[in-house]
Amino acid sequence: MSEYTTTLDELTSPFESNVIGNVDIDIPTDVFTDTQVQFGSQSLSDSGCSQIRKILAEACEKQFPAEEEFYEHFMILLSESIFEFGFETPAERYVRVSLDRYGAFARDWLTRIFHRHYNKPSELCKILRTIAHFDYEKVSSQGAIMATAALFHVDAEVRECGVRCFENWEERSCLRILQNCRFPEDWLSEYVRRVIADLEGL
Amino acid sequence: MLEHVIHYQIGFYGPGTHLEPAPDLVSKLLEQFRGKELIPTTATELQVSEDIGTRLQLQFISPNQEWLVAFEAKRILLRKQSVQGGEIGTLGTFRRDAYEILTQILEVTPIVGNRLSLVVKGILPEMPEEKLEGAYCKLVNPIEFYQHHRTNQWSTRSIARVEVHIGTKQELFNVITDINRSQGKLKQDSNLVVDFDRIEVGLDINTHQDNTAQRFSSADIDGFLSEAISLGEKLILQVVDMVHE
Repeated sequence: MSEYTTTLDELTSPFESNVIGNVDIDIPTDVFTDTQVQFGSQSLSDSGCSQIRKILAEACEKQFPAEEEFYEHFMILLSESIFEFGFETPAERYVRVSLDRYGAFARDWLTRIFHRHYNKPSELCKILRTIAHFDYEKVSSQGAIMATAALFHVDAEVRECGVRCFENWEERSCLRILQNCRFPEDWLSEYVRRVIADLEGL
Repeated sequence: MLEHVIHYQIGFYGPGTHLEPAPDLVSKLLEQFRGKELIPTTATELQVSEDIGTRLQLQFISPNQEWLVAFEAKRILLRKQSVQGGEIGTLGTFRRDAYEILTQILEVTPIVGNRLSLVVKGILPEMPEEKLEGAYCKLVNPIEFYQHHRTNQWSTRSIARVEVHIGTKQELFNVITDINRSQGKLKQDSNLVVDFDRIEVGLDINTHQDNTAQRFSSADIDGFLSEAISLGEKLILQVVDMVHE
């Protein structure tokens, strides 16, 4: 039985590599020093680790420029996007292509963009409106996590966009999330009740 | 004492710490964390078997990246790191906040832990070259070459095993101290970056790896932190005294 002890985040610090908080320690070491790779309860030998780290390093090298390019291009498209019912925005089209090409990587990139803009409600709403138009399976699990996080945001519009994601996805397994939601705004509570009723009727 | 703390970290080890990012579980944890500004996220973990595959790990982070709560394969990791424009605070504040977060997690996912750890990493204030060199000579007995050549960078690691009581439990602690001379850059604000050459201190105090009995609940966390912090503060004071004596 294999174990999982290395995360891609540990291997790829996406925007500010080697910066730890406000202190950047310049220790002559490779970037994979802190990663652990294990088989069951047995650690790999150093040479085994080196081999795997080499493979991972190559994969990550390919991922770095792709993520940066995705971030820059997506943010430009997002700023130009006008969301109209029934029309696919260029940002949405770009995400669709990226999801097909990069799969889980692209979902992780979207999550990181979501975090970077967490204190910018208008950007968050655009991101949520974009992912809301995809099938649940296509953006899951990261999409559902972003929408869930949105339900707890201080901004009511962001919360509304979170609810809209669940409404569009029509995913019954998400019903309990909405059932546990409590909002101070009557209009939003009413909207959630309608979405819950729709999902229960599926 | 430490002039700049790089990070504080607590590890709660035990079976079942890895959590998949199921929306229902996430909403329960978000309810617990309400008011803390912890946002759920995922990290892609690598599965290493015959093929390399992936699975998702649930994490929570604060918008400024100061806090990380990660549900890793063998531990729940809580890390508070120094961020630009933020104040990381004292070890005492970290103890209070981390204890609160961990107990909230254990209310949602009752895990009985088998190991606990506390990690602190930071740098000492600036000091003249002779003190930096003097610390090296006090810590190690260098081989002849380094007695005749200035040593720009060095590192030491000391590990002791100490018997400690956490409540009624008798525990064996690994008490690890890393003392290194490091060079790097200190970002004082977004425009000002200053080079530094200082002594870096890392502490890792954890329960012994051979005792894998599941015995830790939230009631034991504060007791562990109290003992570990007391040891850690004593160690930092001794490092400072050693450098300046």
